[in-house]
Amino acid sequence: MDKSEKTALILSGLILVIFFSGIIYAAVVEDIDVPTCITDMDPFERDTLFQTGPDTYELQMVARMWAFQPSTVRLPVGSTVDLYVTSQDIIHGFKIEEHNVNLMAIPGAINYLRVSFNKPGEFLFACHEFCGAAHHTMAGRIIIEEGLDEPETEEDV
Amino acid sequence: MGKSESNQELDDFKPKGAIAFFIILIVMFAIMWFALYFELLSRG
Repeated sequence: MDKSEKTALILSGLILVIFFSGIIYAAVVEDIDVPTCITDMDPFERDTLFQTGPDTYELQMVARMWAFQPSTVRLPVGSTVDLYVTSQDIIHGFKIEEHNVNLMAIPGAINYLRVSFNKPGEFLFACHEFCGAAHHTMAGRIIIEEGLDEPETEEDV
Repeated sequence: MGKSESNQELDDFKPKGAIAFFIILIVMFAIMWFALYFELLSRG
């Protein structure tokens, strides 16, 4: 084998090892996960938010044409949320800005992801899968506040 | 040109263009990959 070919192969292999190690680090050390499809739970029809631990919450989010239920969620800083998303009608998307959340909302199925909110602020979430005439209005907010005692949700009428 | 001269040229040949292209390819790919990777890490 030519010396240049050998160098190119070694370099390519090294780059692959570095990339793969990066993915392992993100998954194991930083606990960054990919969305999971929940198969052992019936799809819910109503949204729910409740506390499951000192700083942990479970949020069941329902997507429909063309709104999310709940449309506004208020949580204290440092909250970790187990997020479950489903759809009442057609396929929608669910994405929270500045966070690693990018889920599909699929009728008859539930998608799950755990997300932490460690800084205060207002974070938009929106449908990112074209779902019809008013797709562009399908959005909501997650408001992270200091010193909030009880989490709250609001609905669009 | 003699046969031995021609073989000598082949032995000395170094694919400089291909090496440069390969290095640029790897570096550009690594920059793009790590830009997205650190964005992922910063979002927690």
